[in-house]
Amino acid sequence: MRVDAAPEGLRQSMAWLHTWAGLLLGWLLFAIFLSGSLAFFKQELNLWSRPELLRLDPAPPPMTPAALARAEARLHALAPAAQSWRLSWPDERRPAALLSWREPAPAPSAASGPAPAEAKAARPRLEQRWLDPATAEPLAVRASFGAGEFFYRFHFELRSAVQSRWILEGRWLVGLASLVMLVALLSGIVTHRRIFKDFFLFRPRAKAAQRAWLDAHNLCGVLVLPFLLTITFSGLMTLHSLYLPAGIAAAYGKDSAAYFAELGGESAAERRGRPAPLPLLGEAGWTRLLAQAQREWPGARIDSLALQRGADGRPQLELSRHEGERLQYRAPLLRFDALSGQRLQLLDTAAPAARVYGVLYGLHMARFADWPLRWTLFGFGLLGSALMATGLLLWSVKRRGEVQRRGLAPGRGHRLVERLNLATVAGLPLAMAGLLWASRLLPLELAARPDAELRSFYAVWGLSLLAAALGCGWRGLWSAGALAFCGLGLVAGFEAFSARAQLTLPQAGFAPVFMLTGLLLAGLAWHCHRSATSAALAAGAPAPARASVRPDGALLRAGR
Amino acid sequence: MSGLLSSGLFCLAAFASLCLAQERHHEEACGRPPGVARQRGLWALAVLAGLASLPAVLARPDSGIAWAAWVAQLTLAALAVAGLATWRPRALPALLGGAAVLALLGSWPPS
Repeated sequence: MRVDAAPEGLRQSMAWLHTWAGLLLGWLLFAIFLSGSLAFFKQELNLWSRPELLRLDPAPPPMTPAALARAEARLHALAPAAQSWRLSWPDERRPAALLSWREPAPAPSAASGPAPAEAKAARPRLEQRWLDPATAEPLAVRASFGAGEFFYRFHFELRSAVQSRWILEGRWLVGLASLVMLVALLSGIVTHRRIFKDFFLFRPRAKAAQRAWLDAHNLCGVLVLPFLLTITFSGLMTLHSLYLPAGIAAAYGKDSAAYFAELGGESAAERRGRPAPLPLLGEAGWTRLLAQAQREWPGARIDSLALQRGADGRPQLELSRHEGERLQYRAPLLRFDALSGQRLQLLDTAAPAARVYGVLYGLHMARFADWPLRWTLFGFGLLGSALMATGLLLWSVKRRGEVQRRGLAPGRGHRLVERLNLATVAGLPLAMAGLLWASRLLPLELAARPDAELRSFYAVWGLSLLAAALGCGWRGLWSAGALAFCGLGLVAGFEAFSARAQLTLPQAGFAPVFMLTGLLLAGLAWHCHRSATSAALAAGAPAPARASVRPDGALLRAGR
Repeated sequence: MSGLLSSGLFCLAAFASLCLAQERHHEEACGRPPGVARQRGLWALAVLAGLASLPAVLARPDSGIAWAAWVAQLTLAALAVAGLATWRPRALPALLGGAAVLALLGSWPPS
């Protein structure tokens, strides 16, 4: 709204919307984007948290009937009463097989009947073990949430504890932020006056810091726009059932499970049979079933298999294709009768709307991406995070310029925004380093170790907020981040050196990646230092210790 | 040369000519703004190079993944050109020529 009450053009009103929507949710969006970019490397980061798995051969062994029979025998030894089980076969990014099963709920005591608290505890329990795929030996792996799993969960539900605490609230908040992101993208396109003329334009040496920041913001937004629009819209779609339940309720009533079943290509949500222990199929059984799968799906790569009881009580085998084989998420499933080997059902939707949804979902998850594409998408994610960061800084820089021109001191609101910018943009990488350090520093025998890992992330983030509030500057937090990551690089380098006889690709990759991240953060700290010094020299005063609080043009102008 | 690489080089050539068709960038690269004929020529070249990057995409068996990779490749090319226009504008004509020639060589003979 203009002060002089003159009519406002579309561009002005869109600029207003872009500025304030972006400011209010910019911090959250930065965190969502950065953690989401890291989630492209979920498997590799999980391996960092469970270094025991790095010793396995990274080339996945073939899925043979003998190997499956060994894994099945292992399951029956570990959990003879399991009601259902699943085996995820290793692939290039995940060297161990993951065996998970459902333990039956303990029978309620007949005398009193279960109290509500007991009833909650009496649900079937999900257990899992990592297996060496060659021998089916269970691997001794430290208790960890998995750094990749955490960034992935933080990205869409702001996960704060191992037990799913506040995740619905988190998903609502992330959904709201995605909606605002879409609004900010579209209003940003309208606001950008010279979108084609300035398509390649970046003036890091511009005299006005605001100009350099605006160029950087525009460049990040415009050049990566196809990625940003796709990832935002598809991200919004993945949680659609949460905030758009009315359509589902109108068509399916209370049976929303039927909706999800149809989305996956099932005719109706199949009721499971009465839980009961499962038979041992043995090598002969697996030979028959794998041959049958080969006939139905010639040349297919099977990612996981699950055994459970169907509605008629007969055991069913469900095979899932590898998700890297196509764009559409999820991979198709094929069900067989586990005893006769008869094909029961192919679960793969043919409905156009469901397929469009699957493709959007698949684009968001990028499970199809090979290494070059995965790194490219990660880079685009970082540029998206840079888009939020430059937008947030632009807000500060622009207003500080106005205040200084009028010879005033910055108000409380401006200082608050500056501190929050600092704690988010420079504090989050530090907190991420904190989580990666926790994988190495927390004692292995610690009770509730996964929760402690998550607490270390939030503790470091909280400390950087405190540091920002107490007047620590950009230089300080970037330097802390640089030290933390270079230290991680050293640790990873040492680990890779000790394992040099059988070094695998993920293990060899950690040290250079952490080191580069540390150097990048050190570069940012150095630029802040330089620009603070040159600003002080220009003003004819010695470099003030706190001048580095101001990021104005620091990242960009120092390219001189 | 793999089809993907020459397709990427075509994208690079397309964005380099698009960038050189802009008065500001042309002046930074060549010392003077482009004439009308040269500007139109550069635009035409950009469109042609963009189209030439497509056959390699259409040849891939999984078209969905190929299209996603193509958009990523376009974005990468645009980022590379923007970086060059910022820090080494004088290298832009060489990039355009080099990328176009290498891409043509790489996709010859047409299958």
